[in-house]
Amino acid sequence: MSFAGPMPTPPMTRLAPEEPGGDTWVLNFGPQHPATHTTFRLVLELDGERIVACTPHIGYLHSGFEKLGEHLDYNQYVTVTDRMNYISPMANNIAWHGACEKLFGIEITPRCKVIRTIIAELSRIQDHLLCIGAAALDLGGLTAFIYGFNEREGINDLFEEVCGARFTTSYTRVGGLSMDIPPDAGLARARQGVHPEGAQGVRRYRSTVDAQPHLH
Amino acid sequence: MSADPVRILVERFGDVDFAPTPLVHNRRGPSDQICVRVEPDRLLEVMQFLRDDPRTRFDQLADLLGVDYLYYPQARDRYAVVYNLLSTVHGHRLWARCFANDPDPEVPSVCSIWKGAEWPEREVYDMFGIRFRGHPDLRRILTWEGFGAYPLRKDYPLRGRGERENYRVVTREDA
Repeated sequence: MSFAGPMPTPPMTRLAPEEPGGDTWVLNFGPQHPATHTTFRLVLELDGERIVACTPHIGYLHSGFEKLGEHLDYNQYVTVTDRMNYISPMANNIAWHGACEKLFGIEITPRCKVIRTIIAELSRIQDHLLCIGAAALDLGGLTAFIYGFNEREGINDLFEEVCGARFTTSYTRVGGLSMDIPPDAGLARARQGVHPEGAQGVRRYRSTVDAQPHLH
Repeated sequence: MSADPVRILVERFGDVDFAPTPLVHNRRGPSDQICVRVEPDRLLEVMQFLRDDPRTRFDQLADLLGVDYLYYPQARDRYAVVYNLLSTVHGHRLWARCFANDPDPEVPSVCSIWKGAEWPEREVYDMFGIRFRGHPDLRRILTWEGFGAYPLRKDYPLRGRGERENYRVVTREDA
């Protein structure tokens, strides 16, 4: 296979047939484009600058996770769930093993329930920070995006303390967790109240999203 | 709390055996999530009723997926299409399974009932080779058109059958 020469046209391409007498043209958008966020391709049929037809191609990021699951056991597969959701991987770990435990009829301990709930809530906050930040970014609000990542760092630090990893956490196991929270971890200290930096971060975030009329 | 959708279904379609079973039955007992069986020839009728009847009102098709029951203990049919229905009005859920078999696995498309079924049905077609009768645009969605296999079938090997290696390189000259 040679990589020299022009980029080959993927066989997936099926351009809309031009209407007889029509004055439309076809524009390929993506799969690598900053505005698509990940690999996502659109084949656009344009009449001047007006889009008259659009064919999306979404298969570029397909990883065959289901097929991998046929060959891994219930504890091994948690590593794949990290990669399915690289915004809040802990939430996917918990969902995966929650489903397994439901299948097997396993009741987890109250302590495990509490830890999972705290972790899931932190994941939710982490996820929303990126969601709102990316939405603001697309509207031109770069500051909110950067501040959002700043707060996410704090949550990633807490995750790192409990499981040793920031993104590829793989924290849950069937019936429990890979390890308990260390007594001196930030998560254990956080029970004294709201994290002061977190509250400040929310104020900063509001000032960069809520207070900016052009983002509304 | 609204009425039980399975009971309403059995009342309306007295001639159909829905065989309602709990989705999960483990040592702690059955779950309250119920899955019914629907034959392909009655599928559209039943689904239309489930969406439109004010007591069931399943206005959202939350998920549509395929299952391959090859090597599955005591399985009578090879494939199933599973419909996960959600009522945003009543807050209840119902699962429905429609079975299909080789050599020509086919079930009716529910695109006319829930427009959102279009892409999941394409995915099930792509991964399992189950055709959806009446689908407006049944093309592969994740793999490419010339892939030529159905990768989520249980007899498809983990490392593929050389589809990537045999990938034809098209240059601009012969495109």
